[in-house]
Amino acid sequence: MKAFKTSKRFFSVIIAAMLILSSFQAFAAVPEEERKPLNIPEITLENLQVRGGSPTYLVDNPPYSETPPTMKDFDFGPGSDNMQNSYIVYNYGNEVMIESLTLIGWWPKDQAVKNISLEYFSDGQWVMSQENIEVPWKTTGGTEEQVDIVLSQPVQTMKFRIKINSAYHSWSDKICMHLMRPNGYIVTEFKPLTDAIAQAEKLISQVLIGDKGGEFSQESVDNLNEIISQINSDLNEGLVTSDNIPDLINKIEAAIEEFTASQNPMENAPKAEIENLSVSLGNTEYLTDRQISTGITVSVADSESPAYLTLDFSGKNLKATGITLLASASEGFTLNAKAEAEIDGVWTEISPETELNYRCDVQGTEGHKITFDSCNASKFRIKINSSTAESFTIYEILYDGTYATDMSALYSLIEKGTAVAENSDSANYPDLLDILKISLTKAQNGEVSAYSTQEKIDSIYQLLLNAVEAFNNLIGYQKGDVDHSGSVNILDATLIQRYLVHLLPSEQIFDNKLADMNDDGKISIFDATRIQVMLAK
Amino acid sequence: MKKKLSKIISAAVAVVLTASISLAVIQAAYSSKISDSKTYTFDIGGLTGDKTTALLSENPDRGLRMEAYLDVATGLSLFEHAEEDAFQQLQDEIDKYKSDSPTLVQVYFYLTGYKDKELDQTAFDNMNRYFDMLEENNLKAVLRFAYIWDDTNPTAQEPKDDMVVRHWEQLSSFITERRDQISVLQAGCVGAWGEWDSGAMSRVDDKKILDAIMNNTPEDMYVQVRYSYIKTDNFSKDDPNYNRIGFHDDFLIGNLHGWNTAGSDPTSDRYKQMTEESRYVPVDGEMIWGSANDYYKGEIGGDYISSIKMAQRMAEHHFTSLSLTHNYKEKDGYYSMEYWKTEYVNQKILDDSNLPYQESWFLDENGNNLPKTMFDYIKDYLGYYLSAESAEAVVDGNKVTATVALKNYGFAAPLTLDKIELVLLDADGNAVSRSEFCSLDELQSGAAVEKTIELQRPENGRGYRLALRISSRNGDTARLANDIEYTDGYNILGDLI
Repeated sequence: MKAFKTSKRFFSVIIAAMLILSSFQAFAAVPEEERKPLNIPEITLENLQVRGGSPTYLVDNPPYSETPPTMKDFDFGPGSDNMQNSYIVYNYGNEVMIESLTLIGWWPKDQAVKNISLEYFSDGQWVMSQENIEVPWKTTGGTEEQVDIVLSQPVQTMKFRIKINSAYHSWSDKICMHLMRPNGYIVTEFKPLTDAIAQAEKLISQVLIGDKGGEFSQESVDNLNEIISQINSDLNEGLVTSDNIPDLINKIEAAIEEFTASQNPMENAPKAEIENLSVSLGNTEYLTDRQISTGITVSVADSESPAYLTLDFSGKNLKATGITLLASASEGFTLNAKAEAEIDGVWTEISPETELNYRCDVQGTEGHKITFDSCNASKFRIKINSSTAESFTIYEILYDGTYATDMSALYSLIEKGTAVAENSDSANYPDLLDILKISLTKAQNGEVSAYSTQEKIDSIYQLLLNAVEAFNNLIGYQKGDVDHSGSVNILDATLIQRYLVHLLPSEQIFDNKLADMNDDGKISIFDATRIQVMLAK
Repeated sequence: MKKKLSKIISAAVAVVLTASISLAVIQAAYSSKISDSKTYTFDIGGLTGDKTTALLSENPDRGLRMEAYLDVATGLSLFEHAEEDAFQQLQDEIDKYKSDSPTLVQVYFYLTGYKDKELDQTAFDNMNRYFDMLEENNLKAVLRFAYIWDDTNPTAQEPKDDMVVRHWEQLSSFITERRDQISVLQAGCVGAWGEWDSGAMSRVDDKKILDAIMNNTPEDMYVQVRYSYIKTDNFSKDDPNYNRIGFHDDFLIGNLHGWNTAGSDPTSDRYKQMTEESRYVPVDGEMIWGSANDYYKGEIGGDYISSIKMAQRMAEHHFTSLSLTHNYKEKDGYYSMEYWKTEYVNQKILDDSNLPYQESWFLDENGNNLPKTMFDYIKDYLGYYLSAESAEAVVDGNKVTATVALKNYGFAAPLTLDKIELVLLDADGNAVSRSEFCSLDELQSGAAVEKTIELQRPENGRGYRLALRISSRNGDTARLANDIEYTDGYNILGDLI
């Protein structure tokens, strides 16, 4: 019995030791030399406002001076003795181990954080790691002081946050820190997966749902949303391991492909082509689908040669004055580019080289325009001479311009219609005359030539034609309208001249009575001159 | 012989009579093709986004506005233009912003040289010459009088209250004569640049000065004040002048700030007051100078002012106008508005930001979606943005009963316009019957106003055109945001032919 009790005690000790050892092993699983340093997290503030500087300074603030202050200020607030629900959240996108925190304050006992709590995200919720830590600043004026806080127990998480319970505020409610950096290492690299999720989320967040060309169905949006939600949920619940990350990324990419394949086809859109650009994601149809979140991720294939983005309007002439590229990258970048148009079969420069500087920080999508003098062509392209980004995404190519229209038939009809309106016989038909006048006013409106499509111009033409033809057989022809065209023009004067030298074709309509402009009973050069004088007025 | 003659005469008379009768018969047999009893329903589409900025930017009494200064004593400009002729400075400003087609300019008339004496003929000559130049350039003034331009030594340029009152008495007739060229008046007069800083306010009798302004300006002229409490501290709600007083906010940074007209707390009474009252009085604003962006980086929350936040604030407080001169390209800089020109948004982003827009604004002429910039959005939707949603006319003899729905997609009601009329035009474009469509304040932001109005058709069987005319006091007219004919200031809803 005693032996059994002894052995039972022995085994308990062994089991306890094993448990303790395994817990150490969990934390000491990654040898120091193999540890991947923490990546720069996405930092957000809750119930705090940025007052100056960038949140990134909190984790990445290299010294710029040898004498204090050696680092840049990150100002935020409001700080007080009793702050409520004020957090700085660090989202790593990877599973990380946080072991300690480094704080660097500037005039710390006047404007640094005072009391903080540390929390980490686990199983879908925030968990307290260490509560009410009074930061042991020693100094006040003119000093930059570093304090390191070692976590009593390192935490493994994807998101970490510092709750600011109180702050020093000698002068105002502004808090100033030079560093608030969690320290540790990456345990599992989820970032490729979280990047893929972010890409899918951005795609969904700004797409247009509907029946128009380039739009998506509600069903396809819901399907992609469901997949994103499921993977996010697995991440939050710690169900994702380094083994299944590649599969999940593939799942998202397949879902994105299926989603984008469900896009409504575009009509009346130019075709986009690319040259000397390697595509890692997307296709060229996204460049003209008028969606600001579908795009094509490219990199210049041969950096010694320019790259091209071409818009082909399939033979329809566009009168353009500018081309805009909507693009983005992981950080700000510059494209050196110029615009070209295919004129008489030859690519011709139509703009000087322009620097397009993308900040990559806008709420929508950032676009930069290359402008040029009005140019008529059915093909335009952007020639990219250089890019400071290795890889960038182009979301859309927009153009400023309208399709060229032909107003000649309408102008000719306006002339005829005006002659009919001015014919004294027309007054006998006041209703038809009103319709004609109204149709003429429509046709002569300046906006028609400047802003109308050919379809609209043709419709106005038809309206006017109907109004003019309503007078057929109701009124005579005007004096001088020798060919019965419906209006007096220079051709009538020419026909009189031809008549006088006997060069009038036999089939040509020639009204002798209307040609006799001065009613002297004969046709002479004076009649032709009289028409010319009339037209000149 | 006599018999033969009479036979000839009789025959001639018979011919003439026959011809006359035939013509009368022919004419009597002809009937008009235009019905005297018909219902017309007009197909009215919205203007597409590839045209709005070009076709609507000249609409009067709204939008982005310039800023210019005149020292009325010297005819020179001020500040960085102090050595320049004020008229040249105005021309330079017009040239600089030509591509943005503003129709308004905030005009500062500095009376510094008259702080101790009455205005003289030189002052009026300079002011009149300035307004002549505005008229030549088809511009209207957002007018402000001020005394102090040197904010480092304000009391040196500060007049006594009685002098200010006397100046307003003198200005009264000038303002009345130029009434049609003044879109809105700003109270000005107190503090540096006429901005009513607290220090200056502590030295003057606000009420005395405000009463002088209100009593010496036309009753239908709105007057804007810098802070909401200037209005509420000096005028009770049943004061007849209360509803004339609008606002101008000269510290727009996207985020709320204590120096905003109604402060920075959206739950405060004064903020709510401005939200409500700005529906019925005009509001103007300006951002900080672009060169100050770095200084106020923390307050702004970045390197430049957020376009979405600006739009939200201006929609909430119904802004009619915003300075082009601030935070754009002043002194050849590249500031917030330049950034806004690169920010492309779509319907989803505006929906998520609770910002109003007309559906067709995001379409091109082919009916495809068209992403637009936040600069274009703010430019187009400041003030009023009016669109006819439907139009129908029932012709019954000489009566035309027209039912028209008009909607305002812009940030503010068209309060500084003159009137909106429904008009019947004849075929020559002459107005033959007209009636007021609605009062200006009925067209609140987001509101659709439908009216049924009877017009008179002078002659049966004739063709007429139904039109809306939106007029400014000086005769300028506004175009509707519709794909319709706009001729001689008339928006043609349809033809009764």
